[in-house]
Amino acid sequence: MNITEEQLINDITKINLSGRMDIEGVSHIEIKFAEMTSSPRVAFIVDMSAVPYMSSIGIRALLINAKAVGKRGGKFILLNPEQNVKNVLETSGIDQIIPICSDLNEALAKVSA
Amino acid sequence: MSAWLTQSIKAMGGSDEHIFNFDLCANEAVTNIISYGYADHGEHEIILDIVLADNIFCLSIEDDGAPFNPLEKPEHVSPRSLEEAQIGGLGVDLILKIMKKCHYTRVNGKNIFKMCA
Repeated sequence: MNITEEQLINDITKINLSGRMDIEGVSHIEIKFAEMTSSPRVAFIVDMSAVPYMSSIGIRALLINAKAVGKRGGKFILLNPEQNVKNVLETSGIDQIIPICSDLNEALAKVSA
Repeated sequence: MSAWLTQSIKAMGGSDEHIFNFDLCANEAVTNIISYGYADHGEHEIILDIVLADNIFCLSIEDDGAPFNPLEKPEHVSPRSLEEAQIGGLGVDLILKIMKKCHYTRVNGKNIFKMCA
């Protein structure tokens, strides 16, 4: 997997994930992912569009970071997951606790709210 | 494992959804076996076999690890909030939700877990 970040308006950090979010993939990005979501940043949009596959290890990685951000009163939003990945998120009920947006403007509005 | 599953399901005429679901559930099951099934650090064999009958794919996974029946695990409750959400324990839950039928037996010191969809 690969992970990159970009700074958007209003101190929002967009994190771009790519590759299969399985055990091997997550092991390559988990440290960077945790660094990117660390204090003092509080607003995150995580672009999932280049993730073709996700197992429970991937859900775990999202949850760990979303929980850490939530604890600081921050916002953590997923952008544009592929249908298969979206199904996994919905099957595990994660879509109920981490918001999923299908377009960037919607995500920007939500993360700024 | 993913490459073998993809190839096998494709060769038997399965859809992309079949491939995704079996790839996911096999990964979850095998990860659990490797993580929790063995007290030693020796080499072990995990045997996977996929068959198609009456338009239903069935994958069986056989291992010689500690007895573990995934079907006896208490049902996972979807978290209501981020603070409440438990990290982990999601793998078996995904298998049980995605697969149409699962079956477990313990035979000759081996776990045999079969999942069909």
